[in-house]
Amino acid sequence: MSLNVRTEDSRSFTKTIYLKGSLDTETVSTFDQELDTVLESPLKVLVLDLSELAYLSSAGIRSMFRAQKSMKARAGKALIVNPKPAVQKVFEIVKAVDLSAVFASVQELDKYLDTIQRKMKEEE
Amino acid sequence: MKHLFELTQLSELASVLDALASAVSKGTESKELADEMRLIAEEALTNVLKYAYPESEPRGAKVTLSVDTKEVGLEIRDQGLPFDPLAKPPPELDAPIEEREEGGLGIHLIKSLADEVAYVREGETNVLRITKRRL
Repeated sequence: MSLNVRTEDSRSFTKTIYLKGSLDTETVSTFDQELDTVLESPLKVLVLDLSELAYLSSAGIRSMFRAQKSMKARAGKALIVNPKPAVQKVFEIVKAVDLSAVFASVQELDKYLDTIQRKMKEEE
Repeated sequence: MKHLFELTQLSELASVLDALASAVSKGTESKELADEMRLIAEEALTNVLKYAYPESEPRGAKVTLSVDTKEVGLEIRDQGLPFDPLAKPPPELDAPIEEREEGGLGIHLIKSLADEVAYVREGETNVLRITKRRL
């Protein structure tokens, strides 16, 4: 099974990594390299779009922990959008993510990001 | 129906998992079951290949997949260090993310996804048997 990753800048200080395929022992290094590159930027919000991720194993979970820990360390957020049922099941079994950081759709995520951006502007 | 697989190195894992998932999918006509068995096998075999032979030449693992009308079974045999995965304490799932340890997740996934998991040491061989019932 293979993994395709691509990153897009969205809002200010926000990047989205799109994962397509399978995040497992064989492919995790592909994601890790992309994550390392993304984390070099001054990022406040990292979105992992899992709409096209069909399979996730514990190797991938460890990378997601790393993403969440890194974002927390810089007082940022790691958010997940649209996990497939099989992937959501794995998240629930290992409690890998704060489930309030999982969004079922891009629309839900956008509403949440609007709120965060408003708060960030108020704090400036 | 039984299928036998052998592997010695991590580089062989993907093709074994592909073949295993394909066999489950054809035998059960369930992609969901095939994916779950693939995940269970990946977690179990990764543990063997990474940790069973720390000080010796890796001898890999032998996998027997059985598919019948009621269940899918996986038996994994290796001749590595004695290791009972069921004896490991579960990971601390409720700790905050920054305190979470990364180990133990694979075994926890196996136990959660399978209907039955059993370990026995037969002479020099670890034997892990995993069963998932078909709906």
